[in-house]
Amino acid sequence: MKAFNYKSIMFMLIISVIFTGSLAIINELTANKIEMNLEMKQQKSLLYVLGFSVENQTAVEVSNLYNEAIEVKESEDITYYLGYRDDSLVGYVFPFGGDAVWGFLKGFIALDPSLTKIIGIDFLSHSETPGLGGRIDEEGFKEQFRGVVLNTEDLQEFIKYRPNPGGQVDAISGATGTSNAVKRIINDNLREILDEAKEGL
Amino acid sequence: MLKLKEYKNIFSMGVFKDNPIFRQILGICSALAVTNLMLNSFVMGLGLIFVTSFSSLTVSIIRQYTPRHIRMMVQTLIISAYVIIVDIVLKAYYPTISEALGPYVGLIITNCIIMGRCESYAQNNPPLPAFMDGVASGVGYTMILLIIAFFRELLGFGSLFGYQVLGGWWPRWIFMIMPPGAFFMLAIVIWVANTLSAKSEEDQLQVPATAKAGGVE
Repeated sequence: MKAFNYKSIMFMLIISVIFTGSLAIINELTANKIEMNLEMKQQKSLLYVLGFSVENQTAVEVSNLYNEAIEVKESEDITYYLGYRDDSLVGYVFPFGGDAVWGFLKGFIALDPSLTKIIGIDFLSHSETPGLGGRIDEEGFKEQFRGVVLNTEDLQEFIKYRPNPGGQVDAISGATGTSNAVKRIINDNLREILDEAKEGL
Repeated sequence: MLKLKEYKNIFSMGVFKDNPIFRQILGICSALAVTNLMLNSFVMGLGLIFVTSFSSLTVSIIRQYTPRHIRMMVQTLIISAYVIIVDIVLKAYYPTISEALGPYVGLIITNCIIMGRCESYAQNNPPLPAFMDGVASGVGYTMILLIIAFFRELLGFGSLFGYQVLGGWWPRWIFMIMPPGAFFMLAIVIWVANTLSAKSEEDQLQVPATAKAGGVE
């Protein structure tokens, strides 16, 4: 039998401590920055769904605009946002989420004050395949949702893909799974949001 | 110290004669996955160059102290530490690219090229050449990724690095941006590269066709 070797264990221990230690330091140093990036992303996303233009704006401009235009409301079950433009209410933003193909998908959807029309949608985080399902992040896909009228009589399908009769949006070629998941998630969430809204916002 | 000629040799091995992708067929998974956009391929390549070179450097520096039978464990630890550094830095300073690459940054850990170079070269060579060897293999990998991405993005989206090159008249080959497109492109690249290198080997008969510097899967 081979003699038990303490040297290997010591070596592994020491090297693990060195490497995990340096990783912890780097993580600590960048934690604030990453946090800020996430917050900035969320603010940009909220402004984007309401139709504000946030491309090529600095962090300060975005956060000024955010403070001016958006008010956070917390009801019993959900947090939602009120969007103002020139001091008049232009829409509500609701967070939505659900299981897509590879993991949980989160995003924002903005509805007009009468809750009959989509102003815009955006995805905050998802794990779809880059270049395939990941293309839901492209403007070309998201912009299609602007101005889609919600048929509140048929509570099953608010969003339909073309070429179905009454379809408003084109799915992504090569990413049928993700497209269908997005449709299902949005439809399910809209149903819940509208239910919630009936009880008063 | 190594002479300039030997560095040149390391580079020509890593980039051409012993290219990780078309000679050793390593690192194929990510080569297939991220090559539908040139920008993604480029960032992935930079990430891999960084991780391969520094892992090789570190493995080489501590190679005389590492107990032989736990060297693989040590290598894996070193590689994952560098990959996490890349991941954190991208998240903090290049959030858009970090999102575009998604899970693939983390998957650099499983890229066989890095372990292959650590095991076959860095483990037996001094730090500086090991570092250069890592850079060379990374460059070889990045080069092939960019070649594949060039055709896939151009034919699939009509753009290069996100800039529209071909106008609206171009029927976008959706096929090229889907996974099968990557398989076809990769196969074509390997075919072309091996045909060319076979020719040059025939020209200089003193180089045996089977000369390989140890690819480890």
